[in-house]
Amino acid sequence: MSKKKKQTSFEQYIETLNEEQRREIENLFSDLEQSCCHLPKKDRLLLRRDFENVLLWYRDNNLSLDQAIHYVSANNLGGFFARPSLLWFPLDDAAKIYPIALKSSFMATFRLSAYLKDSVEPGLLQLALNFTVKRFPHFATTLKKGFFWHYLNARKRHYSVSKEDRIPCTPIRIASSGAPAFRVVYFNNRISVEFFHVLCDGYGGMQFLKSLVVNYLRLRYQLADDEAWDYTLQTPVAGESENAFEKYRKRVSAAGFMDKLAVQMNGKPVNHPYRLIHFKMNTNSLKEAAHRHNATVTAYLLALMFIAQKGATDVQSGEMAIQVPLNMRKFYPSPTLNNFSMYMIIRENIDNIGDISDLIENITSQMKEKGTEKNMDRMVASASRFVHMLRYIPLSMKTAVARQVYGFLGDKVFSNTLSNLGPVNLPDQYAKYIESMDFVLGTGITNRACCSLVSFGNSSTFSITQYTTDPSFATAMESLLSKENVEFVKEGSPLWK
Amino acid sequence: MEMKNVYPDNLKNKGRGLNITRKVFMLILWLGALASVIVNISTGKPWWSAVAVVSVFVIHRLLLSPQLVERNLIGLFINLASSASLVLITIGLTLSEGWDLFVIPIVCSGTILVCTVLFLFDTEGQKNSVHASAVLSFICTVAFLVGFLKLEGREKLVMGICGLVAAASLVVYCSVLRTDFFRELRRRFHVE
Repeated sequence: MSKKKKQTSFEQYIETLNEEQRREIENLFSDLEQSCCHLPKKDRLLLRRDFENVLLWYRDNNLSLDQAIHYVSANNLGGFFARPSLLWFPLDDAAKIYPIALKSSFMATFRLSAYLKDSVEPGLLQLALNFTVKRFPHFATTLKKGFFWHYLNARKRHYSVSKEDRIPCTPIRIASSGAPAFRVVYFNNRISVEFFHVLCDGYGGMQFLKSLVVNYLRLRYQLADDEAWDYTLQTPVAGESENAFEKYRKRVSAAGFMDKLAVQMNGKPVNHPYRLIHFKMNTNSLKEAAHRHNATVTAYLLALMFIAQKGATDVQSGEMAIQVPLNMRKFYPSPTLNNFSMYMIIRENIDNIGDISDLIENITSQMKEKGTEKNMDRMVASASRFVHMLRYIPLSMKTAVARQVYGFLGDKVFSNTLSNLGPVNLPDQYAKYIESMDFVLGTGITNRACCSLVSFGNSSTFSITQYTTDPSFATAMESLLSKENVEFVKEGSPLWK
Repeated sequence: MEMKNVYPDNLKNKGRGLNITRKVFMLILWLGALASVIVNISTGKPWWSAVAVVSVFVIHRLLLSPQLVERNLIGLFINLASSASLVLITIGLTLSEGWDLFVIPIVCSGTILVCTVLFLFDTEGQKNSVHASAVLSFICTVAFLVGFLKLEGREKLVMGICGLVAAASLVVYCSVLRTDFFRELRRRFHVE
């Protein structure tokens, strides 16, 4: 007697449907089959299961089948999975260093998260990712080794979301065949995407996260499309994967990347984030505090960071420095989602770190002087020149040298980083379901901390990635913010040993 | 101020333990290699420690510092063949002269054959990985053209077989992949 195969929940559900409803489901899956005909069988089955899970979720939440089919329509996949993977993308000038400097214990990553007002439904998030990835062909890739440079090769596959089970910003496994350079994780009400910097900078990553969240919210709350805004409803344009460094390079004298070594905070270094701390601040209260000192939010936070850093080191002399990345799209209208950021380094002599007003004045003048288009052009020119110079040297030789140089110099020319992504906007119909966002940097080598800021609505999240067992810097930041009457809530992680 | 934990408990830094183990093994192996060099210098010729050092390098390369980008079966076989050839050349130069030119073409032919079979079994999956094998085949074809004129006896025979296997594999790759093969070459050798 043959053993009867156990019915899946979806098969049981199908049995409860009438003839017409069954036909509708069959049509949905035949559209799906067509829409992903170029995927390997294993991936097609996974994709089908994602659709089944969402239909079951809709049934459990009392949504009619007609409505459910409208929201999960296979049209949302476009023709992306029906076409072979022919595209490839050379890395932009800034991204070229990241795979070369890659080590099994170090990878330049960053993480963007959105905190929703309700818990995340994994099945819906999975389908939202399937719908999102088609809009970002540059992300649906795998890193490959060329003879002279690495590059990104298109790889159409089933991209999975998973429950958070690793310390944030630890290396993404990209070695195996077809592995993506990003990962999507969820925990409670948080959706996070971690990116290997080779794919994009904070701006590009944020477009991806916003699209993912919008797709998720659309499925979760059955929202209407917002064609005016929605990235995923538009077709990718060529400029989104351009090497903007090359395009906007000017014939100016190059600025060097070498600089004086900065004083580092003390504390035993750890090669993975030891703790994450998020100060979720009221944006108005933060702005008011900055305006009381006639400063921008960035200059104000930099001043607080310098004061906090001074208390986190025993070194009595020398200069502390903070790296401040600058979005080059501010100067050039590039639609690129690749890396297109440069940075300025704000320096302060330890002796001069004391009075906040003097500090802010000095920081503001340094920011005005260093953050000019002309200075950034000079940095772009040096990055491009450097890449141009190395282009005919075989990758294996470049890797051997770059690993040593990157390991030796690395981030030693600055003591900390402040990356301010600025305000993130979404249409009201989506924004009302989102509580806040955060941005975490995972690029520390020598630095004992990296800081970042992102605002969403009236919530600004200042995050500290602590790379040391010494809590001095974070503690000092907390007491400074309290003293300055900035309203905040402190969230974070346990200690990761 | 009280801090709210918004991360799961017991998150792990996966791979950290493995990294530490790897580093300890590396240290032990390289110390062993250094010791063998010191002993060899004190005992004089033959320079057997060269084989020890090259072998440690090969273990380091293959087992203790695995590929971080693009790890695949074909790449693994090519790495294995190139490492084996390196050890064989060192043995040939230091301990027992004359047979390496006979063995290396056999190792290379075997590797090319294995890679070609892997490719033919999973053309779609391996088409982006076959470049490493194509490079080895190209090198073997050139070595055959040079070696066939200069070598004599059994070395000439195995070199001839290796050259034929290599050339045949190149023909297979080109005819199966057609434009994809040249597209792949363009990607692999891009300089922009």
